Amino acid sequence: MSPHILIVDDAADQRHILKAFTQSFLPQAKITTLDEVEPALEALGKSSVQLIVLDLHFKERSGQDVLRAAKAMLPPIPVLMVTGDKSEETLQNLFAWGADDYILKPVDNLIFESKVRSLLTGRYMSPLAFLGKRGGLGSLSFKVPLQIKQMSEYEVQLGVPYYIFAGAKLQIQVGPFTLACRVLQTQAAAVNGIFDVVCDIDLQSISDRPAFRRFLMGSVETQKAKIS
Amino acid sequence: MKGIDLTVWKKWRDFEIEEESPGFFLQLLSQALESTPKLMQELEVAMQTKDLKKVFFSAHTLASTCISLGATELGRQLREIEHSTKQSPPVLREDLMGPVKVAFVEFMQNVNLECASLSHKKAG
Repeated sequence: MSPHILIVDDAADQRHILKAFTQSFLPQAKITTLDEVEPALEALGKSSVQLIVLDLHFKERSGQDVLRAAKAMLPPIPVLMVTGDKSEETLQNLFAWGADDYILKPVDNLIFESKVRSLLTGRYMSPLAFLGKRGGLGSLSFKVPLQIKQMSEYEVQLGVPYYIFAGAKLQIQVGPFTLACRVLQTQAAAVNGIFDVVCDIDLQSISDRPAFRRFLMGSVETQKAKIS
Repeated sequence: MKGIDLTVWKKWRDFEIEEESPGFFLQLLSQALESTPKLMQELEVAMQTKDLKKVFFSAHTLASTCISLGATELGRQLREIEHSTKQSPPVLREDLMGPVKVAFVEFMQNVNLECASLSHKKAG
C-alpha cells in the first residue's frame, strides 16, 4: 500500500524540497503538504496518515500542537521533526514532546530518506545503507570487515555486513595492494548478516599489474594446494 | 557570484536532472523570490518595534530558505538574530541588520539572475 505522508511547513520552498525528496524515493506515496497547524490538525482527523514531517515553528501556533495530536492518535503516528535549531535544549524538548526523530536544516536528501524509511517500516535503516546513491555521503570513510569470495584482475566479489548501493566507491586492501573498486551490484537480502557485493576494480589503482596478476595466481595456487 | 555557495546550486541542478524533475530548481528559486522580500520586510518592522516573537519567526524562516539556497553567511547571521531572541535575557541584534540587508539585496539579485537564465533556457 502506498504510504500517506503529511508535510507541514510554513515555508513554500521547504515544502517543495521535502516533497521532491520524498517523491524521489517513494514515487507512489500520497503526499499532502500544508503550511499551517490548523489544517494539519484537521487532516489528522480526516485521513489516515502514516508519517508526519513537521516543522516546529509557525507564525501563530507551534508544531508541538500537531505533534501532540499525532501522538494522541490510535495508533500514534510517527513524526519526523525538521529543525534548524540543533541546541541540546531544543532536541531534548522534541523527544520529550514525543517526536520520533529529527532532521536538521538544510535537509540532506539521503539522511532524510533513511529516516523516512526507518519511520515507515519501524526498522532502523542506517544512512550508511545509502552509500553510493547519488555520490553517497561524500567522503565518509569507515572500515568494515570484508571477506573476499572471488577475485579476478577486473572484478571482485565480497562478503560485507552492509547493504551498499551500486555506484559506491570502496578501497580494499588485498595483500600488498590497495584497490579502488566500484560497487556494481549488492545482493538484495543478507545471508547470516552478510551481503554479496560485486565490484569492478579500477585498473588505474593497480600500480604494478603484472605483480598483481602474479599475486592472484599465487593465491589461487595456494588455495588449490590447501584443497588438495 | 558573491554570497552564494555555488556547490549548493549545483546540488539542486544535479537533483533536478537525476530525478527527472524539470523546473524543480527554477520553482525553488521562484518561491524564494516570492516569499523572502515579505519576510525581510517583516523582520525589519519587527526589529524596529522590538517585537521579539516576530523577529524570531521572520529570522528563522528566512534563515532556512537562505541556507537551503546557498546563502550560507546570510543564513548564519539570520540564525544569530533568531537565537539571540531566545537568550536569557533576550537580545535584539539590531547591529546585524545592516550587513543582513546588504547581503539580502545581493542574494535577491543572484536569485533573480539565475531565475531569468533558467526561464530563458526553458523558453529556448
